[in-house]
Amino acid sequence: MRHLLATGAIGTPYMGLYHSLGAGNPIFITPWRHRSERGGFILDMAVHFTHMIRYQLGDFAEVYADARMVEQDRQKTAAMSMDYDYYKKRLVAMPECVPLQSEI
Amino acid sequence: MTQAVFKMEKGATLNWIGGHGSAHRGLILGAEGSIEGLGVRGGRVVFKRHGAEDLSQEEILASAAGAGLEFDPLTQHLFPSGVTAGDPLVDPKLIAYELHEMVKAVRSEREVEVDDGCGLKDVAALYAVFESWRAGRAVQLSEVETCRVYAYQEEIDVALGIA
Repeated sequence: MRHLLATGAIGTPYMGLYHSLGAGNPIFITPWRHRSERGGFILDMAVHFTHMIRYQLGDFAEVYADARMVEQDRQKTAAMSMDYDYYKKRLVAMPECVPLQSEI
Repeated sequence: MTQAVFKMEKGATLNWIGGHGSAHRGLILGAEGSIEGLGVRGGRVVFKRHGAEDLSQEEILASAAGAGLEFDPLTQHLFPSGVTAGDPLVDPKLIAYELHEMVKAVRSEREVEVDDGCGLKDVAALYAVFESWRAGRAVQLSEVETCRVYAYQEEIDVALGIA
C-alpha cells in the first residue's frame, strides 16, 4: 500500500477515513482494556491505526475531537473473538462484568 | 468512543471514528484514485483507479513485484502470498518477525522500524484526541507531545504516581 502512495498511484492524498464502531458492551479481550490508567482499549487498539495512518500519510499536525463513554459496564462474552488458546484460558478466569470505570 | 478530524502535516484531512466495534473501514482518497483499507494486519486493500478496473491486493502485489518491489526473506517465509487476511496465525507470525527484528537491532545489524520517537508520535495522536475533547478545542500534536496540553494525561499520571 505504501508503494502505491510512494509511487503516486492515487495522486496526492487529500482525505482519509478510519472508522471502527459497533454496538454492544462486551469485555474487549481483557478487563484491563477498560481502565484508562492502563491505556484503555481505544489507546490499546487504536494506536495500531494511528501508526498505520502515519505510515501511509505522514505525521499528524492537529486534531479536534470529542469522546464519550457510552456503555456503563462491560459483560463477559460466551467466547473469545479470536481462537488462540491463551485467550480461551483468560476467558475462564474473567469476571462476569467489569463495572463502570474510567476507560476514557 | 471517539470522533475526530485530524489535519495531517502534508495537508490531507482524516475523518476518525474510534470505538470498540466489529465494523471497520479505512479509506484514502487521492486526486487520481483511492485505496480501500489502511494496510493493517488481517485486512485487505483494494486499489481503485479513475477510469480503470479495481485492483485486488494480489494484483497490486503482482504489479509491485513487476516493478521490482520485493519482500525481505523472512516476510516471504511467514507470508508467502503477501496477504494476511484469513491467516489464523497472523499475530504469532508478526510477533516472531518483531522478535527477529529486535534481535537484529541488538546485534547492531539494523535499526528497528518502529523506534521510540515513532511510538511516541503514534501514542500522542491518541492522547491528542482525549486532550482535545477535554480542552474543548483543536490541539496541535506538538502541544501534546511536549505535555503543554496535559489535562487528560495528568489524571492518569497522578493515578499511576508518576505525575
